[in-house]
Amino acid sequence: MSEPALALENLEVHYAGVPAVRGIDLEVGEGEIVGLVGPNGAGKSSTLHAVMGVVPPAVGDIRVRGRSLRGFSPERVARLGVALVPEGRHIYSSLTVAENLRLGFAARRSNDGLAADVAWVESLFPVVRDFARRNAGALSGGQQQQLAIARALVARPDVLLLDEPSLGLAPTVVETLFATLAGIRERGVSILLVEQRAQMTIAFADRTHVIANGRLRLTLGPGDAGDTDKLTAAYLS
Amino acid sequence: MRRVVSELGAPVILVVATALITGAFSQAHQLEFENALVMTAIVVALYVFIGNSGVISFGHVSFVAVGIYLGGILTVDPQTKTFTMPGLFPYLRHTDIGIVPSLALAAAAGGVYGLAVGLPLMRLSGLPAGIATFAVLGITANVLYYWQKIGPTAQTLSDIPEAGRWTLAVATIITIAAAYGYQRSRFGRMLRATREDPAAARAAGISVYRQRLIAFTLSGALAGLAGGLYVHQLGLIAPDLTYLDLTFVTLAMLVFGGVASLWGAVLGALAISALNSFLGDAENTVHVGFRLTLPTGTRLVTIGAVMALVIILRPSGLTGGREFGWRRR
Repeated sequence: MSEPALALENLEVHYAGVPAVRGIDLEVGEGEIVGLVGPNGAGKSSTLHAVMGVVPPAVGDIRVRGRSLRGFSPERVARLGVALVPEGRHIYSSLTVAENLRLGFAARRSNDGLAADVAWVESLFPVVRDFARRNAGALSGGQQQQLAIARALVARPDVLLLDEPSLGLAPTVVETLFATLAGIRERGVSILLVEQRAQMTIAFADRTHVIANGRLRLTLGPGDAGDTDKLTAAYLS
Repeated sequence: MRRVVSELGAPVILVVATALITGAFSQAHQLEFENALVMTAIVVALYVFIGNSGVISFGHVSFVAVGIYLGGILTVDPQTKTFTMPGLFPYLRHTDIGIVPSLALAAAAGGVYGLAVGLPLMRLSGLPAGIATFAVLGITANVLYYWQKIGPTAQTLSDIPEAGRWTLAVATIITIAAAYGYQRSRFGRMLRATREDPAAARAAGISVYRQRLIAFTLSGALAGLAGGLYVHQLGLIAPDLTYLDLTFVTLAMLVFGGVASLWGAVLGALAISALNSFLGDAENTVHVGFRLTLPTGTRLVTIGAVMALVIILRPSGLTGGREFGWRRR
């Protein structure tokens, strides 16, 4: 049994002593898509930030293929093969689309296969090729989200962390986006997907954890997507 | 390719034009045009760090000062130095290496000083970075004012050989080309990413500290070179030449033109220099179709007002932080 791509062990995150995440255990296996849903302030983004090294974990550990990330800076975590697509996209709006994409190369561990990876990303998100010379700030919200994911993917990560990628997107665009995520997983990329759209995520991910008040309340599989009672109970707990 | 031609070509043409028309003017005006070339080199050096990183530095004139002192003192005749500055370090006292080598040395020294200052300071952003770099300026200015082993201190050192306008123009163009090459490189791109969104840049594997340090060092080297040019344009080193006045004039030029583009840096430096020069003349009567005589003091008041106006109406400067281009993206 090999090590999981990403493992959180009893993770706690505190802000000025106040706990936001209160002991989470979670694993994402190679090529798996794991969902993390929950109400606002439940600790979803804090969990991702802790993995990325943006905030240090107060207690517990984070392992990527068995290697502990404790105390690593975000840039070091990125170079170990973890990529975060932050909430609100955070593209560099005054740079061109092509420049945004190339900035994703910074975290690559090797430049072997770079051209093939770019071609793959362009086939997933044609917008990054079609609007290469345009300023990224001129793209629509959905296009910016695609660019943000494309930028993360050209770093060739093993683990992709997505923070509410559907935020502010039209429902049809969200469906396309989720379909693309399935294509990304086929390349062996493991995905931890943080979302507000609980039912859609539950139906799509291999399994979905419901987080509330900093703790995992419930784990659901795609078959449970219709079970709103369980979900509501977890949200309100 | 077309992009390179217009983005690099436009500032270079402006500098060449400035050098060309210099010859058409009287001696006094030639000095002002030459000074405009030097200011351009200083502002471009500032731009490399401030423009690409978005972090303010009030300390860059320190690196200009290193260039001025090293470039000036190493080109003065050793016999003269023995008389005028007997306290100088033996190497500085006995050496005369000529203008062009002195420029190379000024650039190297500016880069080393930039690296030394940047190592502890590049962790800072915003106001703390401004204050810390300002402290560096204060230290540098005071050491230069009091330490007799490295310069003329409170005296004025004259008899420094002067460089011709083409030497100044070529060195300024080299500065511009270096700045452009840097900003198009992956390092420049990574630094601009940290300016746009430091959190996203770090999450993408970019070390903000390292990218800032690279730019600060390059910027220090270019500022050192510009200092070497300055001393060979003026032909003298005067106390307090490299303190608050030069710091704020060059920063104002950069802000006026547009902090975020090379084109803005060049345009701002030349535009403010031209305005400065014209108003200086007008205070002593100038003919512009009619006799124009402005009261003494008009120059600084007008420049201050124009700058305030530009910043109110166009906070991102004349160029809006864009490079020169025929098409607007």
